[in-house]
Amino acid sequence: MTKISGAAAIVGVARTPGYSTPGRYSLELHAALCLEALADAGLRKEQVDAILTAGCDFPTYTEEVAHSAVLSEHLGISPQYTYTVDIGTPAFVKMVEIAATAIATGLCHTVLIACAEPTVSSASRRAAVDKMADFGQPDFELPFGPTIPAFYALIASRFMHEYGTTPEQLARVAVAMRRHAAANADARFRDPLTTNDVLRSRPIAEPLRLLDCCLTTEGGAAVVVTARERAGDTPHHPVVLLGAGQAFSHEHLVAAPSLTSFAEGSAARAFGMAGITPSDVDVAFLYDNFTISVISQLEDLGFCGRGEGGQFVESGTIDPGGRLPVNPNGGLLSEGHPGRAGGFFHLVEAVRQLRHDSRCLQIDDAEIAVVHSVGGIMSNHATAVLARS
Amino acid sequence: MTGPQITPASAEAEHFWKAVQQGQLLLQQCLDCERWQFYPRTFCTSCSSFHLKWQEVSGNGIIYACTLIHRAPSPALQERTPYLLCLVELAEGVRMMSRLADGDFAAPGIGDAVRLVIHREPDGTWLPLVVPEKMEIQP
Repeated sequence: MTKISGAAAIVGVARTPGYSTPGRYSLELHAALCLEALADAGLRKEQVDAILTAGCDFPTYTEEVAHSAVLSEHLGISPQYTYTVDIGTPAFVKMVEIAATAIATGLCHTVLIACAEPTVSSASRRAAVDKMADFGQPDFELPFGPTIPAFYALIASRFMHEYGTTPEQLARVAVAMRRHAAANADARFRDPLTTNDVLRSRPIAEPLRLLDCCLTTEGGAAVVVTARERAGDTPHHPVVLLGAGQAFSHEHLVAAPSLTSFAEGSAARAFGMAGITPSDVDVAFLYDNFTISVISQLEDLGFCGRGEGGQFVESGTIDPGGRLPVNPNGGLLSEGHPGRAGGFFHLVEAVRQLRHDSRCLQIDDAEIAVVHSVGGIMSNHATAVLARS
Repeated sequence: MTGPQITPASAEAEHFWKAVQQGQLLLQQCLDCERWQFYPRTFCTSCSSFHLKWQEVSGNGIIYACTLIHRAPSPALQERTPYLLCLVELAEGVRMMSRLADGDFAAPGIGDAVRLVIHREPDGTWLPLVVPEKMEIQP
């Protein structure tokens, strides 16, 4: 069987600076990021033979179908492999796995991956809010007035009931993300935050409060993946994909078999392929759209036992300087969540941490990073294990 | 308007909501493996049989998860905040989403016995809403 583990490496990265992209159109933003990632990799666009995208939430007419092909034409390239990955926010992790698989099986050798969402400037703010307000199963959830925070609050209510997770422990996740964000010039929020600040912020869907929720921002990123044997000639230290996994249990919360366990299979497959255990991980990038999501992922990925996520966070383990720093960029909670590209900054920062050239707080001797992303309401999960070759 | 108008996206959803308008809460049960299922589909998600029967149920169940919503998805629903969004585990073993009905009673919590009762909303929409188990049925 063809081995995916170790077959491919990320050799170039680019991301939008800050948290807004005024006046930028989606397609133009995608293209600019692709060219910047290629420059970072020391490659020309003619050397790209595959392109992967994830579409965008507010497409222009030309972007509505065959998004990856439209971007190829815009870039002026003719790849032999194009694919638009439609699985929501985990796409940026999944696309690295697809790239490695296509490279390992000889379908292509150099892959451009891009996702960008100038949400607030391309759509009106009202349209963006309306789209998020319509999130849910149309016949059997939406009639009762749920919201995205409310779905996650239902999950939090089960954690509190089953494991005694506390609002203070949820708040502590937001505090940890803010501590990381202090070193990140691109983060939306960098001012110090206390547990009390979170607990005193206005309630959105109890137990979640305003500061338990991430903020929708704008932006995007691109990465270049190439065959490992070609990666030696590139300017930066290559970052190898050691393992990847995916898991799916439901799309809508009303159909979820459990409200406290979601991503176990995705992480187990990624760690298994990489031949490592959670204790080998130097830095983790988790999908912190809400504080409860981090506690849930810490348990599902096996960084702590079932029901222990709250205490794990409370003891400072995920803080800067902790045993398992989580999201040294400040995460979605403090750095921002650029729509469909939400979490893609995590991948860029994971690569920079493993290159040892982070613009945030560099974790000493970082060798192995795990990047996990979530789509829907803890619905679709993708995990990647990355290593400084 | 107080909430989204329901425009069913499947024949099964249409059947469910038409029954609700007539005051009935219907669930599907598989004639082959006898499992109940929600939400309704054309086949049984347990054994893939197409032999399903619609049955009226009591609506009795317990609160599985709940959240008090302060920020609603629409201006109309915002006027009704805070409201309690619930996942209810029915006696048949299926889980449904619902909301606590307006009324002079204490909000139930996880594990509390409740009943889904069909209410008419001010905009004319009929919805199965949560009431504590001991409450009288309100029209």
